[in-house]
Amino acid sequence: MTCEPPLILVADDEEDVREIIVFRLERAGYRVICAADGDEALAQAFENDPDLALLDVMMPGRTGWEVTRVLKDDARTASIPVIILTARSRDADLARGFAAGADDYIRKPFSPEELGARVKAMLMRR
Amino acid sequence: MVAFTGPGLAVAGAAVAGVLLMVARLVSVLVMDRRLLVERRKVAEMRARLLADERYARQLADEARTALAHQNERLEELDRMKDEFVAMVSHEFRSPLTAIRNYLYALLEEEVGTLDEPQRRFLNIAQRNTDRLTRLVEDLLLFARIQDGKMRLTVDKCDIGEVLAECVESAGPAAKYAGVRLQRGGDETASAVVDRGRIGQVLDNLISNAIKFTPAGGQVHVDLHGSDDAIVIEVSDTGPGIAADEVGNLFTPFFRTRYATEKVVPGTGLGLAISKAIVESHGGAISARRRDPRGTAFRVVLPVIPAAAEHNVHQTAGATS
Repeated sequence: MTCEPPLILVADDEEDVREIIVFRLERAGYRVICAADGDEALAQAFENDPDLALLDVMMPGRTGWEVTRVLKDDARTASIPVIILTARSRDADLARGFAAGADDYIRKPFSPEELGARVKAMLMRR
Repeated sequence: MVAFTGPGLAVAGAAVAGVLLMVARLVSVLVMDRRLLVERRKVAEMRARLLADERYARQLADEARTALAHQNERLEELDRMKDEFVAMVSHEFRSPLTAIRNYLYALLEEEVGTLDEPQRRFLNIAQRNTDRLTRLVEDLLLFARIQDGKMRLTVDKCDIGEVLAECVESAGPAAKYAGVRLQRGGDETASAVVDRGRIGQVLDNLISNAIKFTPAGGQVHVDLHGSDDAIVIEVSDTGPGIAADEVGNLFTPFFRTRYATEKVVPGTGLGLAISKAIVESHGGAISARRRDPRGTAFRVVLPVIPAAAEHNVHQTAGATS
């Protein structure tokens, strides 16, 4: 349709982290929707069909991994690229994210530059 | 008493003798039987005692086995708890650090308003300390993983010369700030199969240590030498050197030299312990020596192909042929 800027879903239960991510993405010209937990993230994804989902792993209710799996298993949302935000760093944890179907991950504490670059790369890949 | 004579007498005598013999045999059999009975009873008793002993021993063994199984379960449970704890702690530290780092960036980039000089200076200090805290958290978490034997290497063939160049470049600003001349010598390139990120971490650590401990006007020299089977990297400085009685403790976790403590040089005492673990997991060696007349030299020797990781190499990269 028109060249509306991409819509990004940001799910993180920590409001402070969520706010600065939203600030950064909106500043870069994207449209942003938010969720504070896994279930809300799923509802938002099904309702708004975002162009990209940034999902924190450790959220109350469904974890980022579980949300990813549900999104990737459903034909309506399977094509939404998912970037996992994780404060965990063990290889096993990263493997779990990819096994769930995630397309990329960003380790916390990330820099604003890294966030911007990964988001941009993922949107271009689409 | 009647006396018998003649052949009849002999026959009777033989008969009597025969009877007597039979009686004697009977008696001896009876006695034997009695003895046997006693023996048999003793054997039975002994057998019963042995059986009881065996039962008891089995019971003890069973109890010990159950206790061990319980203990094992408990240890596994503790291990899981520790893993979960480390994961939780890393989350609890890294999330706030993410927030601080990103808000500071927005402020320093003047994305929410212009800054005057004192504001900028203070925010820069906050940022520097955030970086320090981030490094500390990462060091502590990595150290915990090393202690658990859970550090994994992802090895690949790479040019150590290139890794070294990156480390020297990124240390440039710190060297300049400290007034220390940072030079590189030896071979330009030397390839080896290593975990690039981890070896970079070791070199970063040695170079930043050297800069930290070298007074303004001094110099830090980084040297690389490759051969067919090993690579030698040496980082030397013109700092105060390490006291003879402290050289042996340098790689001990949390150890800090008297100089570092007195001069309040920032650090956790984990950098060298982590470096040692990384180098050794590559099958290499790290050592330190005092230089004449002053300064310290650290030497890292890495095998070109880490013996322990050989199968890993083919898995991740197939880099060797």
